[in-house]
Amino acid sequence: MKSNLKVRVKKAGLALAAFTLAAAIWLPCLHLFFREPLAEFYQEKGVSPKARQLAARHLQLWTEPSLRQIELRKMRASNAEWDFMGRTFLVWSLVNMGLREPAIKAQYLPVIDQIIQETVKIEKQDGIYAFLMPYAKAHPYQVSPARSLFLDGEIALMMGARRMLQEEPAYKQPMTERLNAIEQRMRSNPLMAMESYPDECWTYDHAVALVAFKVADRLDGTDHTALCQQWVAIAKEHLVDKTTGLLLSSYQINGAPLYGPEGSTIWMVAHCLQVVDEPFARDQYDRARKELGRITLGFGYGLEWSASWQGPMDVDSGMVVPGLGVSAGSSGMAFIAASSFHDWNFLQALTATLDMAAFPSRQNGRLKYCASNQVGDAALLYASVLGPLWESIRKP
Amino acid sequence: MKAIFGLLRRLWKAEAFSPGAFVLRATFLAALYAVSRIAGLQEYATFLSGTSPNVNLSWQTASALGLIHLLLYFSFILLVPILLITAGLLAAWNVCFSRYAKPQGGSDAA
Repeated sequence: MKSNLKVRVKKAGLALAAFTLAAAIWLPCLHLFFREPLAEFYQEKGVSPKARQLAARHLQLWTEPSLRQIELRKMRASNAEWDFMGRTFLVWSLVNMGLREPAIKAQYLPVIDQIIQETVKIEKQDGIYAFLMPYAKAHPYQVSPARSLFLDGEIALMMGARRMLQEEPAYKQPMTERLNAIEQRMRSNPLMAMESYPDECWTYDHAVALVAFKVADRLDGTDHTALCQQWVAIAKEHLVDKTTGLLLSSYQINGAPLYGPEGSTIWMVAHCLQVVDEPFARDQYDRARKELGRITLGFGYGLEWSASWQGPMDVDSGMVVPGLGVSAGSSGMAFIAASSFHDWNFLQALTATLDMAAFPSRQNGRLKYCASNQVGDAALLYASVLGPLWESIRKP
Repeated sequence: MKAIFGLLRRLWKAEAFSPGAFVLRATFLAALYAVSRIAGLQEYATFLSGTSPNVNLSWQTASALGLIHLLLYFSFILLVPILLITAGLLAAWNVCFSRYAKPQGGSDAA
């Protein structure tokens, strides 16, 4: 009996050792099954196969209203912001695709116009709260009348991007009006802060607005260089987390920090700052890469928080994997920054994770990621085609 | 067909720590994943993005379906290959060091 037990323990020990060895063999190899040439996701010239498939899926959503309604219902049930951001990322993506392939921009322009016009119409009809989370109504805005930089900046950039692809005079005035309103509010605040939510200012939205100013300068001959430089100078002095050197994500209108550096914000901020202050943008990217970007066993991902500033799991971070700290929101936005800063190694590792963990689903040449949603896929599409728009803004 | 059933019977009767038992576990997990995939549970993985997977189902039900698929998928890509490699390593051990394996009866030859 005793010897039987001894034999069983021996066998169990042997099996455990074999299992451990098997894991040590398999886990480092796993990424090889999901690693594809980077050109499948991003190409310097032309449009990558995945970008084309993702775009096909989005174009289908905008040409088949019933499908779009289903997607929007799903997203709006969780977060109305995503409906809005899904639109903006798609417009910026289609503009970049049009700039990459001018021969087919005529296919994209009607969709771009449809998105912009419908978005503005909803905002006009239902007010700014149509695209904000419900807590926006919990308190009044500090500056009245209520305006959200989140909406103004992204709509202005949608219009500007469309005009960069092909001039459309109808967008000039509404874009200028929004930018004037933003400029007026930024100049009236010592920190050049404008609310996105009541007493809540987001670095992300300021960075997007700065790009919109740069687009206006390019298109309309205005000069917002001083305004942009001033914002960057203030940000460096007042809006940087002392430990990491990364920009805070959000703060009150008096500059009191709300959220520290977050992956879901800083990657996009660094991308936007590229057209405003390239060295500062590079510095922020390098810091974010060090604090929030990880490659483990060949799989890349983004953390939502740095070691020095922890925050809660929320709609921005998305699901956070306990232990590893992998954040869906940060990882998605990391694609944008990695593409933007040509960090090919990180980008390739991110795409391996995407193919491993996001459940790609292809149907008739259309691609979607089941673990994602419309805004997530639109952000990925943007990451796979970005470049030409920023280049044309920065062109001397 | 007979050979397949024979193999399955041998696997089923294999000892807990034998190569056959590990192959059986891997097969079982792979089969469960296949069922989940065929049933279309992949679509429910969108709960990971914080989005309602299916507006006609409650969030809890839809998320539970997504979670089931997630667990089966990760079992399939992580556990199944590890179990199969383990089986291979144990089989190789048994062949190379049969002096250890034989006294226990050798019913785990699978």
